[in-house]
Amino acid sequence: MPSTRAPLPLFRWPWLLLLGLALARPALAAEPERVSYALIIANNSSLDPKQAPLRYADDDGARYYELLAPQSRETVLLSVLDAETQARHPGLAAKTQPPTRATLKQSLSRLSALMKEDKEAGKAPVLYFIFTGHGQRGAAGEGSVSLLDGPFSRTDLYTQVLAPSPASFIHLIVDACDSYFFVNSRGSLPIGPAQTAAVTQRLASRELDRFPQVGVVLSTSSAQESHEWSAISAGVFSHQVRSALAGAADVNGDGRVEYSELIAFIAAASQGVEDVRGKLDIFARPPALDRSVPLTDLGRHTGLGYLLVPEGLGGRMWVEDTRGVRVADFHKERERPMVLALAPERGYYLRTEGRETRLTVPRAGAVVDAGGLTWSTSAVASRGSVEEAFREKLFSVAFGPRFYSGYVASQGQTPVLMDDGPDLSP
Amino acid sequence: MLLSLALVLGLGTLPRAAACEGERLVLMPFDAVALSRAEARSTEEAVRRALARTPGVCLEPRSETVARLRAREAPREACTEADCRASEVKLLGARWLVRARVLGLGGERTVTLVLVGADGREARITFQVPVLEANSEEAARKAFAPLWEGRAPRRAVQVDKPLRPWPVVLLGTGAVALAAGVGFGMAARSTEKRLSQGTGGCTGEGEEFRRCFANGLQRGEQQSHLATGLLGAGAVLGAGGAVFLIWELP
Repeated sequence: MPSTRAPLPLFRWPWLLLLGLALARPALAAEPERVSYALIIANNSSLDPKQAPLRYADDDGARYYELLAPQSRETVLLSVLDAETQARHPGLAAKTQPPTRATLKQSLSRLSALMKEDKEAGKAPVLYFIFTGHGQRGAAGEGSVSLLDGPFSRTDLYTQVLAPSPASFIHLIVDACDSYFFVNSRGSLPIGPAQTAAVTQRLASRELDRFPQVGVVLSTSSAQESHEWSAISAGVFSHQVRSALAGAADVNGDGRVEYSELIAFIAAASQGVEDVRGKLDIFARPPALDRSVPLTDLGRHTGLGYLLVPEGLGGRMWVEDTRGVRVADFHKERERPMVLALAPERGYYLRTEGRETRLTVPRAGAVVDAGGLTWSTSAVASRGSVEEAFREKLFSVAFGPRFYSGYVASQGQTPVLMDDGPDLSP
Repeated sequence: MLLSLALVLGLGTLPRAAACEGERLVLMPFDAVALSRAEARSTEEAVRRALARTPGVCLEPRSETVARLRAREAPREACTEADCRASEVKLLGARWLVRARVLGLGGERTVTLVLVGADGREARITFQVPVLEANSEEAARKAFAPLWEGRAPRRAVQVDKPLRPWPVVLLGTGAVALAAGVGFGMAARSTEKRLSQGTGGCTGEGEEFRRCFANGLQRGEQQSHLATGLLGAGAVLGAGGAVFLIWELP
């Protein structure tokens, strides 16, 4: 029996198509808004009387705070800042709490409550859990980090932080001796760095596979001397991580720093260091759930300003603010631009060997083009053998698409999509 | 006859209807940081419209710029030295080159423009444009104006200014007047010569001969006066045309 329904007039099809697209749009644009939270634990002291206190763990904590707070809904700093650090960061001590087990637990509860609210509102909360300080490995092989009133063990990490967290993604960044054992439970690391990488990759998968939303970046060095460098008044690994997160590791100019970019950036930065005491070994693994999830996204609306270092400026460079705080180091290829996120309403120096230029980031969202700045001569001083190794060799290798592509290929990692230049379509 | 000749001379120097009055400028396709190609392109189009509206700018169409860039055999490498930049400007057949980058940082949209001269020297400006395209063009126009005004002094600039017709019309008219004056002068000289050598072509005697001779003298006098007037006018017009032509030359 033939249908009695008249066919839809032709002119109505475009309207139906538009309606369909409009209904489908929310589904296509389904990526939820990301809301960041940061919990930073920075502790100079150690529970082991044989371990000398660190000098710059609190400085690292303060600098992580200044980098992450403008990008985060809530940032917690658990640290006792020493007199020097309090002088460098006026007003910050009032925002800190002591790094004890109790305050850590309270902070985690508060952040979890906020993240649950975000989840209910359809947002994707992201937690940065950062520790910088002393770490140690117990008799049973379980790693822990030192808080003021006791150790915080690997078991604590898994049961109190990772398992109960409602965060969509957790970025775990640990700069401590033996931090590998703080995250992973078994195995001993061979001495050779190449073997280290192979073993850590295999071992890590056992522990972290249960938490596919967790990504980790760890310093696996055991030599305490390699951790800190007085020229930058910070831990070398943490300084490299902050430099990368500020944007120096964004190799393809998409404004996002992914794990593969951060790892390659740190590898390039450490490539030239031959002194074994200055060698940094790192272990990093992106969240299995999304290996391309960014550690930082400069495109997001934040309270940060930006420094554009355009083509034509290159070589080993660093940014220091007018308080004397070294904000970022990098070795830039001349042929590509680079953007660094900086705290606004503050003066900075962009320095390279023998030259410097002064700049001010006037407000959040402002971009300062370093290509239009005036340069003058400057001098840099350092001391000590490891200091010399760092000064001469750290960041001695240029980081850019060439290094990145080679490094990522050698590691068998998934590379980011490279920028293929300007749009040349008519 | 004189008028039509001058008109022909004048029309020959009229500018073509589509010619642009200004300095040739090439806007390179935008580089982008933390922004998709589509978003970068929409900002580029807004900036392109703003530059095209700037007085004194002859902006090369995007299609021509892109065709040149695609025709290059080697992939584009960023010029970091003044010599390289100067040769690039020359290669693009322009007087000025604008390199641009749009950055999608911190939820805002920032544009950096670098104006490169034929000598490779740079001037740059950074400005923010609204994320909504409607006001981007106006923001770009306001930002680019001081950069353009502050470029190299005009005397060093090759201006593609079309020649205006009236100096040449004056010159042409003067030349025609001079030529006519010379013609009438030669005719007067011929008449004078004929009259001073015998009868001056008059026949007969008495009153008839005197009248013919007097007419010949009068005609020669008129030719002489006309030649003097035309030569004077031609000289004045020619000199004036020459002065104005020099004034009009770029």
